[in-house]
Order: sequence, then C-alpha cells, then structure tokens
Amino acid sequence: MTPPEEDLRCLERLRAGEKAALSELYDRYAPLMYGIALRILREAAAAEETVQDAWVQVWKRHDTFDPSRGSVGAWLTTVVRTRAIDRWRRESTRRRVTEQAEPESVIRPSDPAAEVAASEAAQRVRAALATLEERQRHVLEVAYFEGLSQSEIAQRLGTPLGTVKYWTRQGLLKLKDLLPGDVRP
Amino acid sequence: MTNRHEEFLDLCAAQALGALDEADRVRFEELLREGGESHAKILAELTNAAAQMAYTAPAVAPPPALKARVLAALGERPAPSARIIPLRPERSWWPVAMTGWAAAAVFALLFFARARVADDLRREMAALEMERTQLVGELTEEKAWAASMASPAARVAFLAATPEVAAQPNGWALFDPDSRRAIVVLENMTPSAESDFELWAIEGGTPRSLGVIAVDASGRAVVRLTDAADPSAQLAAFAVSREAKGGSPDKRAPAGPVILVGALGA
Repeated sequence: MTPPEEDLRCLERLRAGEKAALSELYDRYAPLMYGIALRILREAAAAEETVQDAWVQVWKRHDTFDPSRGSVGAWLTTVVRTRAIDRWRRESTRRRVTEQAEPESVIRPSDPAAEVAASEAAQRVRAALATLEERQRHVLEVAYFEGLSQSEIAQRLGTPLGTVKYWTRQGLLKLKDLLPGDVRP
Repeated sequence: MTNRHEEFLDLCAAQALGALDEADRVRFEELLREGGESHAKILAELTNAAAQMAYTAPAVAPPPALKARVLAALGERPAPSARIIPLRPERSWWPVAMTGWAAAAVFALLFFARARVADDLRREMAALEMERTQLVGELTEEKAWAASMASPAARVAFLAATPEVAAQPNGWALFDPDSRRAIVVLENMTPSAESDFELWAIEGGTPRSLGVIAVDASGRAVVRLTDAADPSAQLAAFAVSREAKGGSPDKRAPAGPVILVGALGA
C-alpha cells in the first residue's frame, strides 16, 4: 500500500470509530503539526492546546475531508494551521501589550533536542523554496504562517494586489512542479 | 494561457494558501465549477503544494503527555457533523462538590474494612470518580457554550418561512465565528411520520448538511452545534428543508423543499 493509501485507510478506520487509527495518524503527523503551531503561535502551551483542539476536530469532523481537494496530510496541516492562525488573531491585542513590555521574549521550543531531525521531505521542500524568487517566497510564507489575505499582504508590502496575486501564483506553481508528491513526514 | 485560466490560477493559488479574499470567493467557486475535474485537479495539486509550506517550520516532537490528553478528549466515537444536543437544565457545582465529599468518605472507610469489603469499596470509589470526571466535563462544556453565545462576535439569523409552507414555522440561530459554535431554535415545526427536517449551512452559496433535526411533540427543536462552520468557508446562512426519512441522500443539496432560511447578520 502506498503512503497516501495508508493514510486514507487510517481515515476510514477513524470514521468507523477506531481510536487506534487516530493514534497512528497522530504518531505520523503530530511533530509536523506541533511545529506549525509553534511557528505561528511561538508559545509551547498555546501550541499544545491548538494541536489538541485540531485532533479533536479531526475526530469529530472527519467528514470534512475531501480527497478531491488534497491529501490527508495536507488536510491535517490545514486544520492545525487554521486553528493556530485563528488563535493568533484572537490574542493579537493581548500580544501587542505583552511584546511592548517584553520585546525579547521570542519563544523557542523548551527542548531544542526535541526538534525532529529534518526528514528527507522537509529538506526537499526547503531546497525547492530556495529556488524561488525572494518576493515569491515571502508572499507564500506570509500567507501560510500569518494567515493574511492577498489584499492584506498587498497592503503590508505596499504592492498592487495584482502583483501579489502574480507572485503567489508563480511561486506556488513552481513549488507544485518541484514537489509533485503530497505532505507526508 | 487564456485570461480566464490565469484568473482561475490566481484565485486557486490564493485558495490553496487560505489567502483568498472574501470578495473573490464567489468568483473562485464559479470558475471551479465551470472547470469541472480539471480545475478540481489543479486545486488539489496546489493545495498539496501549499501544504508543503508546513515543512519550512521545523518539526518538533510534542510532549508525550499531549497524546494522552488528545486521546482522553476524544470521547467514545467520532460524532456526526451535526451534533444535535437538547438543552439541559443548568447544573450547579453541588453535585460535583457532594461527589467529591462522598469519595473522601469512602476512602476513609477502606482503611478499616476487611479485604472482601475493601474490594467492593474500591470498585464503588472508581465508579464515583468516573461520575465526577463526567460532571466536570459537562460543566466545562456548558461554560464553553455560555462563552460562545455571549461573544461580541456572535451573529444572529432569523429564519422565516418560505412560500413553500402554509403553516408558519419560524426560528432563529446564533453563530459565534470564533468558536464556530451555533444554537438554532425552531418553532411551529409540524413533525411527520413520513418525513424529517434537515438543517443546512449555506457557505459561499453552497449548502452543507448539518444533520436531521429532532422536533418535539410541541413542534419545537433546539440544536446545538459545536462546529457549525467549515474553517475554510464563510458561513452566510442557515436553512431547513423537509426531506424523506433519514434526510437528503446528497449531503450537499436538499432533495426536498426548503421551508426556512435565514441569513446571518454582519
């Protein structure tokens, strides 16, 4: 069975009520999902809660997975990313006050040794991103990790919306060509 | 490459990244439908490509205790997409407090009991602890509902009868976009042995079933939804249709007449 089929089979079992299936998916994707949450929220406690909420959503809303729109891995990372960005936005006011008081408090994972050695897939993605133009890479990162809409990105960069759309399209199409597989650790 | 195709690629790339402006959503859905399988394939490929941005964040092993918390939070079975829960009477803290005191009393008795009695008492204590845990969980859930409904971001929809019905069912819905929880209250619904009412979320002009509604003998129904809206979609309205028993065979479109509809306020 190919890796995407393994994930789909796990999801079928999860839909039938098997917690062991969720446990398998968790073991496979939790480090990636936790890393995303940490990157966005920059705080371990908030990242843990977000990952927990994401898996509960996966368990309860398994029917929202649409295979025509992407792989199981892509869906899982989207769920956690969406929750992390929502939380980041909700807490933005409190965060602005805190950062003014403690400008150096950029949060790192408490145990650097817990960073999982970069998988072959991660190395491939980073290499592919390095081939993009800086502005294409920047708009993709801002969109993905800060959850800004294209008009918000255009406003932040002081760039016409059409230009942001063009950079986004070109960057993502190139990424697609360089990385034909799906998200899987 | 035609301008129309370029337009689709622009919107599709934005959608894949979750960066699509709301003003572009209707156009994106229109172009996606027009392009059929080929456009759906492009969307899937770009979504996978966008999802690989996840790798630019270092993967970090979460604390081992997190997995245990996740599994404990799941409950017994995955719930259907619309979790229909009747409103319960308010609970006070007293049952939790009393249960805690009862567990302490049983534990004191264990110290002086004989082995056979001690085993019986250990089993009883375990059962009381499970009940206490359940009550605490229910209280936490009720607090979350109260917070969502009191949220300043919560939006209201008033559901009015369509010309399809002679009687006058009506209702209202309250949706909190932050927690994605919603309450839908329906009245003057005429239940039937041959049909069911089905609740729908309207997102970007597209309906999505939230499940079959249980109506009481007085024609009233209260539906609580813990996850009413798809995170990637904009919930615009709620609707109710009358369907054959079991609901519409297609969970993306009502088969029967729509009898109630209400748009969410801004």
